[in-house]
Amino acid sequence: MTRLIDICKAFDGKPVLEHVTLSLAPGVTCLMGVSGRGKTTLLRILTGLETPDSGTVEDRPGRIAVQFQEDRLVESLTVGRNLQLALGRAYDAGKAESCLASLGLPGCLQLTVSTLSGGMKRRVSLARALLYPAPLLVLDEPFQGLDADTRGAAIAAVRRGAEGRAALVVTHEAKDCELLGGRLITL
Amino acid sequence: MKPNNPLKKEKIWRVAAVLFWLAAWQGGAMLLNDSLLLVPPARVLQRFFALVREKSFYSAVLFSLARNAGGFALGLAAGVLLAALAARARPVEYLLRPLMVAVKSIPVASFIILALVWLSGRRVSVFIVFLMVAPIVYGNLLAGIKSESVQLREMGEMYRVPWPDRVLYIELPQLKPHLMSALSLSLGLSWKSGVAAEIIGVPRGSMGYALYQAKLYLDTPSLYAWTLTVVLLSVLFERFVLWTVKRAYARLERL
Repeated sequence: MTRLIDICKAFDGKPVLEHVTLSLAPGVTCLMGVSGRGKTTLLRILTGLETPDSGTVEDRPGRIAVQFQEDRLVESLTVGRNLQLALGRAYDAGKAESCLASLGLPGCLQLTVSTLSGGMKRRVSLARALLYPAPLLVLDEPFQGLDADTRGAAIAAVRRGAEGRAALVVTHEAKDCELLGGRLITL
Repeated sequence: MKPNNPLKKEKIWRVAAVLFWLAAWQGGAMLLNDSLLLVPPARVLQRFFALVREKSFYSAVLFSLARNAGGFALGLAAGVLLAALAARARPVEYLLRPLMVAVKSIPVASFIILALVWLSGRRVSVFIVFLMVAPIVYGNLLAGIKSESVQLREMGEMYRVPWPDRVLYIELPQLKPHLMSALSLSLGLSWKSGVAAEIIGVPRGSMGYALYQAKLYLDTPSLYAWTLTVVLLSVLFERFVLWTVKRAYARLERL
């Protein structure tokens, strides 16, 4: 079980995280809090992209499936190539297609990312994280910018994708957490 | 019929501009009426077509083309390598900075004369082209690497994308505008400096040697015809290299 213990982080002397402790058991954990409370910073510390000023991260798995706050897709490549790039040998075109279809994006593997809308890109980046075989799933506002229908499909896909592993999901909606069947933590 | 297509209009303007300057050239030549000072365009073309019928023309073209392409390839490889090294290690960038500034600001002619002390006339053009190309490629690519998206780099790290894939699919697409601009700039300069090196080093059988001979014997039509050949080769070489790189990028995007 991955544990964040007594994490403190400040930027330019301004504290963002103060003595945060969090355990990530298998299943969904939702992280809520108003903007600027350090949710993304906490996720970056969890994934090892940021070093805390003090505190430790215990049992961080070698592989972590991340959906960043930004889509972080290679615009010039197709959706399929983007997935293949991240998943490597674990890439399976059939599984990718069915995951994308469950997110309301059937038959888009061959589309170039630059031709997609913002909502479509968001779902492609979510699919990449869901398909990545890692014991820890970290999603930073995965439902941002999605309409009601696609939001529902995305919540269902995250629920399925989090089965058998720990998932930390940053969201602004308590209802999302309820639908994900997760425990809620407020920063 | 009026051309409504803006592309067609653009083409017409381009052709018209070329025709205007050709007419100005012809007018100037008629005014001076001295082909030693200004050769009329028709005479240049006549001499050019006479040149292309000579066997020595092709050996001179091959001589200069091979050395120019060789120097260009070496300069490109060195520029890419040094930019990659400088981007990874700041001391390398600091170490190279004075060298790059010196190479960029010292006149080409000085370099050619200095190089002639060390190298034979046959090799100087390769070295000079290399010297002109490497700093341009280095500077442009280093700026490109520095402006690369940190977000995509982090994505590559998190998903453990193997480094050859990172270079091919994450770094190279972002470097495309910088690489194209570096190639465009250095391709034009490579021919100018390469031929200048040949004119000063006068290696037998090169285009520079032919230009020097034409100047020596006041054979102005040949001087113009060889200059036209340099311009044509420079344009063709530039188009070929840029076309090859664009094709490589297109293939990369299709993979």
